[in-house]
Amino acid sequence: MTITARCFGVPIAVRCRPVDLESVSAHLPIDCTPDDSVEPAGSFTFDLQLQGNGLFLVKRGSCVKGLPGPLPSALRILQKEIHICVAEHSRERVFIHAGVVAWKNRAIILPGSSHAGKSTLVWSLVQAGAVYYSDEYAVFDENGFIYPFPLPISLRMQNGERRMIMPDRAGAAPLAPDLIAFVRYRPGAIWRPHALTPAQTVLQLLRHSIAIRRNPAFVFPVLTKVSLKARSFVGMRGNTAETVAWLSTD
Amino acid sequence: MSQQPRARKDQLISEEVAGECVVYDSRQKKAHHLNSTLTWVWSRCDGATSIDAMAAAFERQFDIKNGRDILLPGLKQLADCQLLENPLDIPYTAADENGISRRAMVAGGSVLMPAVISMVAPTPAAAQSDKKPKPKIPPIKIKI
Repeated sequence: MTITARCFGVPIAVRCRPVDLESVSAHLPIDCTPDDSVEPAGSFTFDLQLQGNGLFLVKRGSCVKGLPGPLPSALRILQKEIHICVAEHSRERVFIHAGVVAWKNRAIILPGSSHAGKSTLVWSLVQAGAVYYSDEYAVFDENGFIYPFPLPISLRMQNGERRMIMPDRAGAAPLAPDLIAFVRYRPGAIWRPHALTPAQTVLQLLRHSIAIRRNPAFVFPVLTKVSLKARSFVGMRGNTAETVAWLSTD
Repeated sequence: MSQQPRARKDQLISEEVAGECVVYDSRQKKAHHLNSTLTWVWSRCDGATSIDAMAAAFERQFDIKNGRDILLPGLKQLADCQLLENPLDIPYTAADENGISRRAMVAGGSVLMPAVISMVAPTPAAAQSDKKPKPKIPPIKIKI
């Protein structure tokens, strides 16, 4: 069975067993609309295959992604791979690896690598009253406005396990970027941010841009617009409290 | 060797943002941030203006003497980043190994020093993690 869909303009096809159709559909990206006109041959094709040992394998084209695992973990791999594919190939949106919240209708963007403490900071801001936009990607249109990408926040617990939390208050409307903070967690660090120029901001955003190699002619001007709309800072944080207080100050 | 530097255009995308420049090099998969001084220098590399004329213009623009002592390290940085079309015949004594000479520091002060920050563009997976793209390492040739 094949599901065909279009997500941010990117045609995708997922082949799976009929019995897994509903689960796969539930793991397709936000704004992903089923589209029967998409030809599997001309799209980015993924497979969710049941192996003889009862484990599931995810493939993109002929390339195996991740290790075989039970259905829930295979679906997570499939979802992540589709996200990366869409983020890389979309000609409609620019995807930056970042957390995003809105504070009093001002978009706060927190670009960062995995293990930089981004999700913890996003969750702390949401607990302090911010509206949740994204824990994975900052999604910009061609004018530099930011759109929600509200997947559950993936928090790493102290025992190493992950906990998925979907905040109650998720944003819906596009916002102009107001504040960009390149924050990195270091135990014991004191939050002393320093400002970045717009050009420095563009370079830092490029560091977390999914499609810069694939489509620089689209990505580059969008990030320039974003850098001119927002104030930008970089710094190390220790605990979240002082950083949250600083970010949420008008 | 060229004494009339020309900015490379092929496979480059550049945006001037608030007086500074960010350049993406599709050939090398690298991005560069040029500070305002280096942006000024790069914008004058039209292939028709000599280094002497550029130095004189630099002195007038920034009201300093010995503009050449700042200009040459800047041109060297641009050449090192492959942002110029042709190799330059720059006297090595004008710049130390870091590209900035003591004379240049005296001539312009730290505010006017040309500076570039470069980075390798991330792959889609690297943009999400701490992993940096692996540089291409040329094969080692061993002579026996």
